[in-house]
Amino acid sequence: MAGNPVKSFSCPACGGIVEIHAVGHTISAVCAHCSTLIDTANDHFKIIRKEHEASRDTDIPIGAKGVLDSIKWEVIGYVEKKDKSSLSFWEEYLLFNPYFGFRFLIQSDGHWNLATITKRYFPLAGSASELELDGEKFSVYCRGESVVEYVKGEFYWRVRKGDEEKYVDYIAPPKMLSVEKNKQEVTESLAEYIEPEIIEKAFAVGLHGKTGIAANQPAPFAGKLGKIWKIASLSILAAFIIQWSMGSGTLVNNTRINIAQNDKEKNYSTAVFNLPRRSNLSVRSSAPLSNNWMELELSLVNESSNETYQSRQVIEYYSGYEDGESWSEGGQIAESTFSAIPEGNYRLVIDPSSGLLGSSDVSMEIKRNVPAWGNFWIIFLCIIVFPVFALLYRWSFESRRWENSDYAPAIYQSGESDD
Amino acid sequence: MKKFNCPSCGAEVVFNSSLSVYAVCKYCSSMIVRHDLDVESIGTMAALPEDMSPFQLGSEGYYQGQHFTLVGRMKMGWEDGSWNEWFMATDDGRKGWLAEAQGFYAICFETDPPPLEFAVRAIQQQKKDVAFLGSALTLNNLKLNVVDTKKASCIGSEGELPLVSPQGRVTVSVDLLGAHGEFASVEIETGKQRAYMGRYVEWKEMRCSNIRTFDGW
Repeated sequence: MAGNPVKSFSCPACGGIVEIHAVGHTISAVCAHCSTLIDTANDHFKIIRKEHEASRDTDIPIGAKGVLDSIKWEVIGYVEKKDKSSLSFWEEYLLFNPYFGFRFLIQSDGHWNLATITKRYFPLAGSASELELDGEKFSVYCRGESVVEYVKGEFYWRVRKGDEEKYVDYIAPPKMLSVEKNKQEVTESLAEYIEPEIIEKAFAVGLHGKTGIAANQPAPFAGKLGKIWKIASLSILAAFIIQWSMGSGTLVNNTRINIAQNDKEKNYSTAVFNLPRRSNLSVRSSAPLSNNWMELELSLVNESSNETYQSRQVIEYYSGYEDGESWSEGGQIAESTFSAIPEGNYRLVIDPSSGLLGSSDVSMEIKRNVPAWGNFWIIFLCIIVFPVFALLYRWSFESRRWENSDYAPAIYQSGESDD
Repeated sequence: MKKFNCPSCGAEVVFNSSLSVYAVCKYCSSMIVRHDLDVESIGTMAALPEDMSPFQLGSEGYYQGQHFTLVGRMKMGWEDGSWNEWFMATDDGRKGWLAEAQGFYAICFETDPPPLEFAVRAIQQQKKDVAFLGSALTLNNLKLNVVDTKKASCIGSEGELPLVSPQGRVTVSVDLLGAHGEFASVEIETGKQRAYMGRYVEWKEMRCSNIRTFDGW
């Protein structure tokens, strides 16, 4: 066959040539010259509605061809609709490919969707607050009534200005399942959010910027939030295991001293111990004090160089019974750490002072290579900060998405009253 | 495959499918009805109106691993448009059809018709006095619901068909859908019902060959 089956005829209103591209499908066409709507279901070309206006320009012109998802489409029709009560309006471009059939490109507030009719039976379409399609759950987002404001091009259904339809949109971002009901039929269509840049590139057009957040706009980190948290949790677990596997240090000295009240000026010293390599050193002192305090001046002295490192520990413990309740304050253990001590032989000199009468035993445990949990907590914070940010950002995005809906899930409802 | 000579022009008329009882001579457009031993001409078919169907007689494809060839077509019209019913010759000899409407494709095979009461209600729906849309019907143990009922008449036919389909043959056509893309249709014609069951298919999954090509596509 030479060329494509293009059907052309003279407009019964103005005589201008009307061309039909989806031959065999198209049953309504709008004259490009005078905007008269013509019945093209058969060759009688009856006038459905006469107009005398030049056709309006659309962002994507009728007749434009573009490739979306590696399928070539021709724009053959355009419908402008508005919601009867909210006065929000949107545009629907009808796309045609002789092999793949029809699709709709829908624009609202600069956001775009590519939609296709779904041939499924939904028993509760429109009335249910949730619909399921291929295992995916869609939640109701809005219900409304639309009216056709303007038409241009050709259509495989009967279209006319003023046509009214009830619609219900269900979302599972980036998808949206819409149910449209008029007197004759119920139609369900599945739409997927598409970035305007893709359309601009496909059809070589310039489009307006987006405003607000669309019902089914993909959320930031969509589908990645779970992964982000999984990776973070595993990293924290790994850091914890590494920290844990370092053990609790190596004991280098264990000393028990008895501090007597009358030996107030006396210093005590541990035996000499060896640090085989540079490491930290922790001193854990415990004394069975009761309603008393003790202060220990610690000096770590290098045997050969006499270099000294200072620290101080306070142990205080008070308890009692007052107003029918027992109480306690402080503790019987003190711990201090000397960091980065060079290798060598050392002893610890203890200079105590205390508030007690009588005497007390102090047990001291000195360990080297004690894991520093502070490092772990710094790593923990570094790992957790991004997942927490992502979660909060996502929550704020979802809250803004549901601001325009009467059916927001409880966690995204704003604190404002409903009226 | 059976070959006859067109009673009108003498050209060879081939019946590829043993299920075919009717054919349109591609040379003289005679409508030929096949009897046990011979063929009879019942008039002339007018030329089919042009359309953008991707198929033509001889187009081939696959459905659920089964190869098919399109050997005949009926073009059906109703008040809001038209659709094509392509008769498929399959290797397993089932009576299969590829329905093509509004850019959608459904492949279905003939099955046992529903009780006559279904046809009665469908015809009443044509008079708009019964709420028939949404009605449930179980065919072959599958639950389906009525989504569309329309009165259609044959605009024309070509190739070979398992039924005689001259221009103006009138049927009431009921479309049913399942919850998972299943499709069925019941054709009601002078008290007789024919039921077809199958599913909607995507263009790509049919892996068609010998299809029509269009400039710019």
